[in-house]
Amino acid sequence: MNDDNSTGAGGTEHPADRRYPERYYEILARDLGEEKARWARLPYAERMRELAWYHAHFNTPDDLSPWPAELDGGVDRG
Amino acid sequence: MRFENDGMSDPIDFYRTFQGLLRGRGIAGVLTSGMACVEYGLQQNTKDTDWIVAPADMNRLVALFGELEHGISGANWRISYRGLFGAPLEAEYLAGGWTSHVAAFEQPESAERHLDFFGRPPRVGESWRTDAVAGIASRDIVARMKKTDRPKDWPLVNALAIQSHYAGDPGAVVHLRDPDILRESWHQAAVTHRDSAARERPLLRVLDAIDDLRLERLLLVEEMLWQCVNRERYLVYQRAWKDFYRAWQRDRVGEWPTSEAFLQQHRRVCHAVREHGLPAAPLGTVDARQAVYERGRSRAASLAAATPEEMDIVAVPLGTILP
Repeated sequence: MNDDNSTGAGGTEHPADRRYPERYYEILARDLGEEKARWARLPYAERMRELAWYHAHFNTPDDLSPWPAELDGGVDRG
Repeated sequence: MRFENDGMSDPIDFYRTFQGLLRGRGIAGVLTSGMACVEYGLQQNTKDTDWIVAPADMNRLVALFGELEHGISGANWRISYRGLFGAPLEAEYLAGGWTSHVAAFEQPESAERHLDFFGRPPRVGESWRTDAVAGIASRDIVARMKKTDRPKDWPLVNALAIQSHYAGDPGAVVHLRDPDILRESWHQAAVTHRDSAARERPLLRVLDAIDDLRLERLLLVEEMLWQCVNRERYLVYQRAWKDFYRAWQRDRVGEWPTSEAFLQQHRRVCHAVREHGLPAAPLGTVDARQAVYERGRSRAASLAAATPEEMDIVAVPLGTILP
C-alpha cells in the first residue's frame, strides 16, 4: 500500500516531504550514516538538488556484478 | 557548499523522461530499487535506473528503443545491450526471472545511462502492477526487492518499512527489522492482518513470547536465510548464463556487445539464446525452487550456527521468498 498521491517534481507540498518521528532519523543515522540522515531531513526539492550536484561531480560505482573474469574478463565493458 | 545544477540532464531528469516515454507508449512499467529509494527519501548515489516492465510489453519496449535510436520520435539516442550477464528483452526470459541490462546515450556528449529491466522481479509477485503510485513501485515492493543477498540492502528494507509503519500501513510488519518498532506495529495490527502476516513471516508468531535479545538473534537468522536463498537463486541464473555464453563464444560471438544498432544487437542475442539453449526459466518448476530453498536454508543454518528450532521459527515460506 502506498499513501502517496503523487511523486516527482512539481505540485505544492511534495508527499516525500513527510516528516517522520525523530526515532526514524536516529535509525537512519545508525544504519546508514549521519550524512544520509541529514539528507533525509531536507525538503524534497533540496534533496534532489544536492543529489544532482553529486551526480554531476562524482562517478558512482555500478551496482551490478562485473563481467566474470573467466569469460574474457578484464576488458572494459562499461 | 552550493549545490547548483549545471544544466545537464541528470539521472533524476533522465528517469522522469524515460518514465514519460513508457507512459506515452502504453508500456506497463514502474521505477524501482535505488532510484525509487531516492524518491522515498533514502539517499542512494546510484545513477542507474531499475524498472519493472510487464513481460507482455517487451516487444513494445524494444520497439521504443528502436525508435529512439533512429530518431523517429525526434530523439536520436544511442542504445546498446551491456556486457553483463542478463537475458535479451524477450517476454519469456523476463517472465522467467531474468534481468536485462541496457545502456543509453541521449546525445553524443551525454552521460551513459544504465537501465536494468525486470519482468518478474525476485521476491515479488504480481502486485507491482496495482500497488504502484505515479509510476514508482510502492515501498512494499521496493522493500521486497531489497531483501537481497547483499547485507548493504537490508537497512533500506527496515527504513522503507518504518516509513510505511508511520504512514499507517499494517503491511510494514512483514518487513520491519527494528525490534521496538516491529513490536509496536504487531500490536497495532488487526487480528485478521496478524494471521496473514504471520503466514508470510513465521517469526511473528513468537514475537510476544521472546525477549529482545532473542528477537534480535532471530532477526539475524531470518536475514541470513533470505541472503542465502537469494545467493543460491543468483547462482542458478549465473551458471546458466555462463554455460550459454561459453557456447556462444565457441560459436563466434566476438566482442559483446557489438557496435551494431540496438535492434540488430537484439536480433543477434535473441538468435543466440535459442541457438545455444539459454533456459528461459531456470527456476520455472516448484521442484527447482524447492531445491534452491533447501540449499539456502542449509547454508544459512551453518553460517548463523542456528538450531533446527530456530530455523523453523524463521522459515519464510517458499512462495514468499521464491514466488
